[in-house]
Amino acid sequence: MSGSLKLLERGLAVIAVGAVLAMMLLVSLDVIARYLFKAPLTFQYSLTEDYLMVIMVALALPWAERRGAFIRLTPFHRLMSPGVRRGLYALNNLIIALMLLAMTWYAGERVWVDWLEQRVIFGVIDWPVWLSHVWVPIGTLVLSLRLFTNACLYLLGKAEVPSPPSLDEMGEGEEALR
Amino acid sequence: MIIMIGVGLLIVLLLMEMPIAFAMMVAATVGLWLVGGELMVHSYLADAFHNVTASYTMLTIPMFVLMAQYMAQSGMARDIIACSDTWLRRFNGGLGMACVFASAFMAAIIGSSTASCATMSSAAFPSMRESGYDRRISVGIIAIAGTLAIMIPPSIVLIIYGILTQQSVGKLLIAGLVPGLLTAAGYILTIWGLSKRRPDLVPRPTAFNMREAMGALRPVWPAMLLMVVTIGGLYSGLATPTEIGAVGSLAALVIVLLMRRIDKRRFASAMTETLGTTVMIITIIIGAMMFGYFLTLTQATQSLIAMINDANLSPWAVLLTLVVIYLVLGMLMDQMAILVLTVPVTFALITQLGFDGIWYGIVITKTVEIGLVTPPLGLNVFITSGITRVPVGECFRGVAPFVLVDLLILGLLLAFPEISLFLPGLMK
Amino acid sequence: RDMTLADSFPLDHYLSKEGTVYWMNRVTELTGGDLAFQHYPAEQIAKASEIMRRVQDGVVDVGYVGIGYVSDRMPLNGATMLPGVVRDSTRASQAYWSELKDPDSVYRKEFEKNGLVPVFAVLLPPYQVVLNKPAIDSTSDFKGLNLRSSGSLDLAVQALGASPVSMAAPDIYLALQRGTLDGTLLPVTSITPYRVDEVTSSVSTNGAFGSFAITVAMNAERYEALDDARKHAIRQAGDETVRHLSEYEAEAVSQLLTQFKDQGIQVYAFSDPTLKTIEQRLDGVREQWARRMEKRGLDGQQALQAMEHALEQTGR
Ligand code: NA
Ligand code: NA
Repeated sequence: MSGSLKLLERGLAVIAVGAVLAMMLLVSLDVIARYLFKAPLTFQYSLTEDYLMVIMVALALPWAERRGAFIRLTPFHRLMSPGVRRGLYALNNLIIALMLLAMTWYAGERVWVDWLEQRVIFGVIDWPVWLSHVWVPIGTLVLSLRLFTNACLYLLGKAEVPSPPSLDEMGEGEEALR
Repeated sequence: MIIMIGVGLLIVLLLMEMPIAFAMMVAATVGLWLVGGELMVHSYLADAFHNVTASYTMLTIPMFVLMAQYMAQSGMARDIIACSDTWLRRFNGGLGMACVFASAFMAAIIGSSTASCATMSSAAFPSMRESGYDRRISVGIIAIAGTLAIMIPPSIVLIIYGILTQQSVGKLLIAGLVPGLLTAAGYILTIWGLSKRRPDLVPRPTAFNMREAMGALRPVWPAMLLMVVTIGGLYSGLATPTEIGAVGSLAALVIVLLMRRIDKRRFASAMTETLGTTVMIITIIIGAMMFGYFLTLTQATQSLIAMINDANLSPWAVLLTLVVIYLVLGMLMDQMAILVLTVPVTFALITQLGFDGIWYGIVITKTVEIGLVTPPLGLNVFITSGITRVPVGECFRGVAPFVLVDLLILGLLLAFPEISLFLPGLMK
Repeated sequence: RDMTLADSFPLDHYLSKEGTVYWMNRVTELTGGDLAFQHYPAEQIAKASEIMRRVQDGVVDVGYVGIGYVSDRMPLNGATMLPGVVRDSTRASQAYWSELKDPDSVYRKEFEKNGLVPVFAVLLPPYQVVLNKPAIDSTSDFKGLNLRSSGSLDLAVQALGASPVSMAAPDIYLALQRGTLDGTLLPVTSITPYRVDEVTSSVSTNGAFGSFAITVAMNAERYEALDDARKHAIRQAGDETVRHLSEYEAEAVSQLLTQFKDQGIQVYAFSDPTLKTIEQRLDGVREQWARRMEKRGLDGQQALQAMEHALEQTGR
């Protein structure tokens, strides 16, 4: 379960990286074409705003969790025993997962209707609405699966809670930046 | 009552070590349910995520982080810091001052403090640590200097203020210049004072060596070229402040590829760092937006302002009360949410009392800057912490002395409106 | 409990003062204080494009629906915003409002399909060419201009031979100042709210490049739950607001044009031959729009004709 989830998370993150690079290239191209040839890429704005931005954030969501991108305050971390910590983090994960499932459901419902009605935004071309929204429920669903899995692992004692960087571990974090 | 439950729940969740972004989303969800039941939860959960992410202005975040990452991964950033260090090392805290200069410079390109702060965190922190700077003072300098981006033009905050209040955006942007430079000077003085009092926090000053200093200038040219491209691109009208980050990233990538300063592995880590940082920042903004909507729907902010309106205070008492409220709100809420929520109302109140609208915009921007670095909700501090991996609490402590200076400068701006109004007064 | 109304306008904006706030006050007065409102201005509870969702979901009772933002759910109402449709915004607003009150109108049916009841509506004064350079005096001058636009205005800009540039609203000011843009299409009344007048050199006065439909709508279930007296008050307040706001708008346009002249901005009218060529090119935009609606199984032609007919009724 955890292994195949990992693979899925990584696959989605690769698509998200693709979106970042695509935005860098498309925006630059648009700027240059507008300045030099007075011929902007009229589709770039909508493509970036309604599709690539959403793909970038939503699809990287589950991967970002594993990477520790969601920062937290840890004032009492060191006062807790490992068992208490696991229990607390399992509870946190379950609460967030439930909220994310609700998000998935409500957002998914909207995507479904947008698709059924074949709604489009009017522009230089017709932009399908569902294709802009569909990434959010995908990202929140996979992230909630990840959080459920982690909660189970914590409760079964099969995984330890990630610890905040301590004074002597600091070098490692800085290393990652180089 | 409901607002107390919402805020209380947020604090409990934060202390339970729930990630900040999700703590805000969960507290907002519960709060919305208390305000309006399932229908409100349904309405906001269905599209809050999409509404925040599907935003062209939000593009500045990944693009400026990406540019900074290419600079950091290729060693370009380290070259700049090393160069500034050789030039300024005879001063106590010279590199820290260089970092403030660099941020002020960045501020002339970037209009968003989140983007500026993320850029400097990636670019400057490793080198500061390498040169022997204390962890806490390093993150403090980076987090606080990042706030310069919204005072020194261009500034997203001032533009939005202008649109909300129908004040001249041109005058507002010009008005921010002197207060922005004054703030930068204040930070530099603070660094100087801190290193005098606590010499252990910074490396010992060493003698200036002309030959070494000239030599250190050589590896800096690619970074200078990049600066020319971005600043030139912005001021010549090639690209807008939103777009220039993308152009800058592409230019940085081309430069480091041509110089063969980046390999597959470093390219990959530039991309993953960018993705991680972007997701961290945008999810916090989603949480803050949701929590802001909850606060608005409880009508708490509106009743507070109505109360002041009805209290019949003297003009200066009203102004000072508002400033205090902004400072307190700045601790709890997202800065954009605060602006949109309150400025339309407080602006009307303030201008009726005879205060200048442009000056009030600068005062508000100053409180926004302070709010970005005060606990418990300080976006710049979160970003610095997330990127440098220095715990959030340490960062808040590192930034504390600078907050005091900021309050002092806020006092100066309030006491002497001419600081803000001198330059715009020269415009027709 | 009070009713709630959400819009995206700053409190100082005329669409707030003379529009939503005016309407709320009239409803409260007409019901003798029976219906009072809690007002959420300036995107306080949702972005402009999402307010319609909040009304549909019942988060608020009444809300601003900018037709340009919701072309996915109200495509046919977009007909009112096409070039050549709005020339005199007071009359056009009356015509549109009479359509929105008519149970058989395609325009009203689209609101009903979305669970909404329109309570008042106006069309903004026709979009004009706003440039950071001197006036244009022939159609060939459009060639090579970067003009900011969005939605169906993109088609108009293309038809004129200029380049449509999409840009976030906060960027427009600096883009005009630094020459990233050569200009933009805007209604005269929208120039000062974005402070674009500070970076403008010329404004046309007699173009009909398009418009924007400002509508305010109520959640249909909430509306049906009201008694007849209250419904009547809402209808009457709607009629009054449409008249007041559209007349205010026309007055504001002439005042603003004088103000722009005083500021040293070139305020000019296209000559008759130029105007004629412009109009010919813009005619194609309406046809193109109707064809694209047809491809989606929507009767765009009927929507255009309905508006045409309603305009004749007001005595255009
Ligand atoms: Na700036
Ligand atoms: Na804060």
